[in-house]
Amino acid sequence: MEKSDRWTPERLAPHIVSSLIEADVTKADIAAFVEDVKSYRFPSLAVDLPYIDLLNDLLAGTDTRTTTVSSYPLGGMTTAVKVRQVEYARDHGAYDIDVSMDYLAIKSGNFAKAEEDVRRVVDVAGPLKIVMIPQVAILTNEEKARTCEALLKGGCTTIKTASGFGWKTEVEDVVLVKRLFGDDIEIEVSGGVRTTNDASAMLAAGAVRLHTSTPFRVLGLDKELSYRKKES
Amino acid sequence: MTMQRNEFAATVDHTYLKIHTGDGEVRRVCLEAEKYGFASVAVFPAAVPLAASMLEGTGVGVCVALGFHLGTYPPELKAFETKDAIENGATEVDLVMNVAAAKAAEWDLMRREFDLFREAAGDCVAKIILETCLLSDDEKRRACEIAVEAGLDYVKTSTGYKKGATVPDVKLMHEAVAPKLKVKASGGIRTLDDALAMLEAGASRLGTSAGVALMSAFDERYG
Repeated sequence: MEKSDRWTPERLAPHIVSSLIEADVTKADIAAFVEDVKSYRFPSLAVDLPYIDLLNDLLAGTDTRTTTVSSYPLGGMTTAVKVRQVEYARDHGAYDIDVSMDYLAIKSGNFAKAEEDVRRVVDVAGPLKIVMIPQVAILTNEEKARTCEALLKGGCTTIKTASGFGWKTEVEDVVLVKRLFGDDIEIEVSGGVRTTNDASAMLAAGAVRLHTSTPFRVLGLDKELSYRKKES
Repeated sequence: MTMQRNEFAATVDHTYLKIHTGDGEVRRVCLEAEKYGFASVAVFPAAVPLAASMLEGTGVGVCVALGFHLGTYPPELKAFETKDAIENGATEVDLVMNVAAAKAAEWDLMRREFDLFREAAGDCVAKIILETCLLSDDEKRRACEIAVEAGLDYVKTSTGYKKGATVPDVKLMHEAVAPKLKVKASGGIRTLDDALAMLEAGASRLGTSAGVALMSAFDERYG
């Protein structure tokens, strides 16, 4: 296939954020994770808040950055708690943080509240890059548009489409955001990027980064993260 | 099982942990909880202010799901989240414990988390969620011991986002914490037989989104 020829692992890797975020992930799992992936020079690795320091240490001297998460993966936390988590990530030196939006407000049609939630998170971010998660799978197309307007007004210019964990992103979602907002919103995709072909389609639609918990499968390689082997 | 209808209803934390609907569904579960006399409604923190205003003066508690559903972040942030929920009107606080601490045998970290949780919860009913499907029996017992030492009110089996409560787990937890603490069974409780089996095994509280169906089944069998 022409597409898979084009997206060799070397070409695809600079677009991949490899994540390891589960309830039972230990420090030893994080260390093994970095060993597993470090030769691929992914732009970023995503871990939960307590592992920012450890990951920064393990990635010292490389170009790979530390991504973390807030109100993740379900959303539903209050703005006050998200602000505190963002401050924690900022103080511990994460590069960026993926933050669930206020879905209750959005699904209740209260976009002003959703915007204020974004603004309060952005206000405390300092050098930390804020990436908001609109969770496109639970939104109508009109809600997707209004949610993206709200996050832009709140001062955020990058989205991660979904949190994964069962919530998927369709290529059409990326196309829609790109069509409505052009280059005003940088699009990272999560949820449903499983193969090289999925990845290729998302990038062609305008996504810049793809989040996955199974990076080797996305690269088309017959390998698995040590943590996943332990699981099975 | 010789249990009155109101006693059975009072074991149910009427649980609504969905993110894809708005205020209307939160109002619905609050009205249902009041109608049936459930112990509480269990909702995400963002829905607590609305639930608290709906349930004021009804005797139905406002239970909040904290640390959901991975439970991974540091104890200080969990304590902050607990206080924030109580300020917003929560009367019962269900927190997912740090499972990774158990897997790495970092018992001091778990102790600190449970102690800070107890302190932050104040007089509210404090329930710690073990997520039993990820733990060995030894790890479950250790977590129960630490919960007793911390003076929590309940140990709870599951978040409901992974495998749910089992009868053997509820028995194990009941043996480990009774009579000082109680047990809440949650996750996968869909039928009246599920519910009664959990109560029989030693649970005092049930976390379920099937409360209304359970009451209908109860009335059909015993009414």
